[in-house]
Amino acid sequence: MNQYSKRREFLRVIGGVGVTSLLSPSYLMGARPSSALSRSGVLVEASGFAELGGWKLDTQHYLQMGGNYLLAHGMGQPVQDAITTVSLPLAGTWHLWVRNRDWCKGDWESPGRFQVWVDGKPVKETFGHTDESWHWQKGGSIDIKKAGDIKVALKDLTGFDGRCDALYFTQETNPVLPSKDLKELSDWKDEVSGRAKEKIEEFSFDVVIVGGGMTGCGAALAARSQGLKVALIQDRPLFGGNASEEVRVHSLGIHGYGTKILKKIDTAHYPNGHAKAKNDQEKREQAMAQSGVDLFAHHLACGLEKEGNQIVSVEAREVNSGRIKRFSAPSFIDATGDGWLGYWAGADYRYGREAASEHNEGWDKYGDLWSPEKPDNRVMGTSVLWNSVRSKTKQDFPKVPWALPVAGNHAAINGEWYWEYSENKLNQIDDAEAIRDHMLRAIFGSFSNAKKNPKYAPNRLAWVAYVGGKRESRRIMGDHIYDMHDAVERREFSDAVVVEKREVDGHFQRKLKGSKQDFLSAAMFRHTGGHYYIPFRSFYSRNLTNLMMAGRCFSCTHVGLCGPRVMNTCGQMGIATGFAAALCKKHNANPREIGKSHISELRKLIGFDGSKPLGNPSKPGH
Amino acid sequence: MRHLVNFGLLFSFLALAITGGWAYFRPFSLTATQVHLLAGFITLALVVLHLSARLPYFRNRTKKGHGRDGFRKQLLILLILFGGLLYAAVENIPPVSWLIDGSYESRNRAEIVRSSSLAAFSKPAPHRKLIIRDCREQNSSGLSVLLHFPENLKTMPSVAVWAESTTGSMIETLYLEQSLAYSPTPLWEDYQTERHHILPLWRHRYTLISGIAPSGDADSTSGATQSHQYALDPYLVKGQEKEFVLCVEINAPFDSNPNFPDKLLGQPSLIYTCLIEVDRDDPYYLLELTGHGGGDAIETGNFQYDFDGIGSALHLRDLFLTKVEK
Repeated sequence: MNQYSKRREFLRVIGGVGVTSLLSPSYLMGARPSSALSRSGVLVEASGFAELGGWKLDTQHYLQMGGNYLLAHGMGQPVQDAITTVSLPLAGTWHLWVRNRDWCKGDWESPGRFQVWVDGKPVKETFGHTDESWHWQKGGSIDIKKAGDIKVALKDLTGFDGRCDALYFTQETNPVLPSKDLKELSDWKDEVSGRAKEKIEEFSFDVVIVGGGMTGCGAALAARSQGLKVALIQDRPLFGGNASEEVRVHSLGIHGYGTKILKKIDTAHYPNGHAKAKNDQEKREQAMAQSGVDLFAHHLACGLEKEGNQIVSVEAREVNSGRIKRFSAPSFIDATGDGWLGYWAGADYRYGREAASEHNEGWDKYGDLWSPEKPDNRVMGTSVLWNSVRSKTKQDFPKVPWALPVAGNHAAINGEWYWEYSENKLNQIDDAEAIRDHMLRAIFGSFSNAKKNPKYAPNRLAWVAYVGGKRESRRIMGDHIYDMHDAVERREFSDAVVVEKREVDGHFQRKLKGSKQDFLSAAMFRHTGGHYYIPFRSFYSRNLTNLMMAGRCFSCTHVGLCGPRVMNTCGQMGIATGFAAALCKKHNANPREIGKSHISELRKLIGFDGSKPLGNPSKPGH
Repeated sequence: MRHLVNFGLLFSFLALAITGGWAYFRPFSLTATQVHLLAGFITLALVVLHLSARLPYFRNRTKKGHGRDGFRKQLLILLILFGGLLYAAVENIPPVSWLIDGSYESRNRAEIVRSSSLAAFSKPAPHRKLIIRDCREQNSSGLSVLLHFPENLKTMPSVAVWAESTTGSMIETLYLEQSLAYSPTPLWEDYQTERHHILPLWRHRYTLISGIAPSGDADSTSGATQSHQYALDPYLVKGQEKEFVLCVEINAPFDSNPNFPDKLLGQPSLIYTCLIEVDRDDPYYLLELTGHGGGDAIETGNFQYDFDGIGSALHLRDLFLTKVEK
């Protein structure tokens, strides 16, 4: 792909496969699904169920497995049925196929078993116990006497994270269904559902922000405060990302000059995983709803349009319906954490730890744990927080033999930030489902071990996250790559737009130091001695002209990320890019030009002292 | 002298008969045993005195002479009879077994708790108990339990210490207050009380060992086990990731409060536990408050976890510590 080409191209990421086209796309791009595939049936996507009951709609792994699936996350108690109505156009025998997987296969009864009930009766087969990968499983046949509506229910049998992506009713005895080719699967879903015939809805904004964590919210509020028409696209139904009540990490770091905005979206300093996150969620949702920002919660970014080296529009699917919307703007902010916009658009990026020599970031005290001799993928990991509560009666917990190979003998009744998993051979994005599931096994196994102690007999699991809290993945490269020395030497930048003072705080898996548990981490702290600054040049792509990035995907090294990766600091980054978007519009300039020609104005908007050229103001508010 | 011996023997025999009868019909009593032993020694001394005064008689009876053959036959029959009874007593066969079966100890053996011979107890200070459990197995660990009660405690609580599996089945009773060990209805502070009202959690678990439910009925799901006293041994073997739960149940009399008004029983027993992992590097374990024996625990033996309404009983413990002796 020639980045200097002015030709317009479209990229759609469908089930993990990027497809580019030079034609303005509708739903289907590139090669059409095979004509051999069954099309006569009725597709029921799990995300379209009318009532979810106790099932959770998991959007985290759409790009890896091709669906937003229902997850029976009952913490050991079977969840309430998910129910929907399906209209079958003909009487006769219908065959049911269910796309599901056995998420924890081994010499035990599979933990994620569930049934499908049709009109009050279970179909022949049980699901969640056959193939480890996502696949279509034949469920049985049903006789329909009269065409019309049938009631379909997903009945969880275990409470241990059974999962279902879609149901397909067909009168064909042996239908051909899309399997490994996720692009074909996604196209087929669009076709069979009828979406492919619809027109993609188009929107136009001054700035489009993808990612509704604290970073994206900060960016949206800042841009909106300057009168911009702002779209904020978020895959989850709630805003806040790691700070949301779905993940429940408390926000750390300082507000810098962003208190006015950040106090609307941050959290109190409750213990990680605490239910008080719900209070802050309410505050945040209210702030966002009243902000005037166009909110597109539960919309999953899935592609973009690019012209030359700039992004023209971004596409997102509405999670429940699967419908695609297209968002055009002159400026885009990648606040996805995983750097998706930059990645799709061909921005330079990094993943993993640089060799210590590359930025001279070695630290003898911790050696390879801090910075490796050779580059690797051992980034800081994903946390899955959890807790239990003590009740006044004995609480039983099912046996979990499938969890013990991970948990070993470890016993615990709650999990803080150090319940974290990273592995050199695993990618925090591509293997996110496996990483989350590994943590679930660690949690359920450790809790089961704790329950052997009579002291914990009255404890019951109160909450276990099913949304992983990532710390580090892709980092989009900007004109400046922020590294350890910028922090520990407290370097001053004339274009400083973010300030922080917390330690450079890197994590490593305890297993690397001989611990039996591979799901626990430890922290290494390198003190900085005071405030340090991040320049605006770390917040826009060095090779895409209108893409800014904020949050953990900003331009930095692995060690450079360790200090400012926390959410208040990321919120500051969002604010800086949001204000920068306003200046882009005002001056009809791109972010790099703002950094060169309008940096004082940007810093002033943020709150830095405009009379001082360098980034070390001593104004109160740090 | 002869009269002195005769009356002495009368008194000592009386003492032997009474204390022997007590031992036969009643639960074990240290006082009765002490009196019985003393009476036995006095009787022995008096018998020696008595026999020494009869030496000419014995000499005369053992000399050859007219009528001695008949006597020898009688003596032989007596010796055979005595030897037979001695054998029956050693082998516990009828008629001795019939007699023994009628004794209190025999009738109530399931209810009587005797700790392992590998367990030793001491009281290093008035408010401390030390229980040490050795192990016969190769490559095994011992166990010591220190129970430290507050110095200002006037009445020491009754205590049971036992090990149970992680599924809640008793493995072995390491210690039971002596006053509670021999009867299901012991005297507790001079009041006859049901033992399972005092330490209900221990008693319900003991059903698995004794085969007798707290109500006194035979428990069809359990059975008495003779190896109970050494049942903990396999759990103390090192290198096999063995684990078990150590439990200490305590209860003090006369600690009633408005929520627990029974004057004698007062607040319920409290149970302290720790999960012992034999191979763990750190050999020390704190026993932590886990539950209590109130509510329906007397009927069910289930730990109760609601501590509302319990007050002073929570302060009966100072420190309960266990060490796995490597």
